[in-house]
Amino acid sequence: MQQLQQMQHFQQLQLQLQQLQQYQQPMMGLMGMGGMRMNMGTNTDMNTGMNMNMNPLFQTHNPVGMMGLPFAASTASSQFQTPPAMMMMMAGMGVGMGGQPQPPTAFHSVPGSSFGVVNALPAALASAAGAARGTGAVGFPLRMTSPSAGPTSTTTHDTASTSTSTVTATATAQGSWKPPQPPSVLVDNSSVRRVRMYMTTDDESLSPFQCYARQHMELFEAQQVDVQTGAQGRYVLWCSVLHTPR
Amino acid sequence: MPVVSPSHIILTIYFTNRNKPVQLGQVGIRCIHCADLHPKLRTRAAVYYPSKMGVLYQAAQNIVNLHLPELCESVPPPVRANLIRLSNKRSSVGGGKNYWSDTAQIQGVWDTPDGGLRFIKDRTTTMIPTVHPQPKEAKGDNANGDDDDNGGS
Repeated sequence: MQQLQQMQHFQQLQLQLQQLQQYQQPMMGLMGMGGMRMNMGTNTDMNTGMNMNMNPLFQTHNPVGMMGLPFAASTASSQFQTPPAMMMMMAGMGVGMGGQPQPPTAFHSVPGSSFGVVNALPAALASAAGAARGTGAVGFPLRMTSPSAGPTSTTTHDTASTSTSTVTATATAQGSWKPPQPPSVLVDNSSVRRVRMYMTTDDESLSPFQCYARQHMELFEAQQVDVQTGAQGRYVLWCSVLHTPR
Repeated sequence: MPVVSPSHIILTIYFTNRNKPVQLGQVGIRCIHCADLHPKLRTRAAVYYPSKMGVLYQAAQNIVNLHLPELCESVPPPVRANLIRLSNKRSSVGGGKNYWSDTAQIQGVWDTPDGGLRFIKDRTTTMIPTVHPQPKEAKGDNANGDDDDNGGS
């Protein structure tokens, strides 16, 4: 009877992991495309930092394949050591690393761990990934933070330029993870000082083409969003690699 | 032999795409049709932040000749058609870039010592220069000016 229950439970787990894999694949593709968003600026251990596209351990593990051997996966050999974040994810899904199925657990209640920061995704792709994984999928913790981080956290979305935009993701419980909201498409220019280039004296001094063009240009004061975003122009690439021995 | 793993390396890559960062309150020139779009969603040559008054003309010409007729997706088709039609008509009327900088000063824009343009906060306490519009010259619309503008997007 107990074996039958375990079999049923693992069938459910395999179904969940298939959903998870469907969610993971677009994410992996996304991170592979974002070559410049490596974001290794912190001295985080790769095993615990769990940057998905950089960690070879995670890439060699197929969650579904590993769950085909649920009890063997718990043996933490040096060659096939399960990444801690993967272990936490499995724990959050109710997969016991000690060989015993556990009830599904919310991420924030995993003992000794807290998934505060979710690896950033561009908003549009995050939405697409959220749609792809369906309603039964779980939040996808990729990076560990301090235990003080709550279930609701702020993620930073690095972009190719120097600016960042902040989005908020919520992982309160299994299945309730909400993708980051896309930034607003429009900016509020109501308080911006702006002056149309065209003046009535233009007709006397400029060609009709220049006059018409000046009607479609304006002078304005740069706001915070302009400062943060920067602009295209001359590109200067600064790259520094520091060796930090442990 | 020391072993260097990825965890030992701090890799920092910065992209700075202008030689001087845009300051808060700095005056720029932009297309009015995509002004309300988020800066990242605008097409190329939509905004320029001239470093000095003399560069304003060239920045405007970049917008006029590149952004408005070709790149901006927010420009209404009739406006675009008018621009193309008028650009094909060569005119001998041209105020030159001095006219552009002079009219900008009338509108309250001034050079700042540290580079960049600013609006005058209180125009009543600041002397406004007299504008001397240039006489009509046989000057093309696409005359090259100083290209020391501070980038554009």
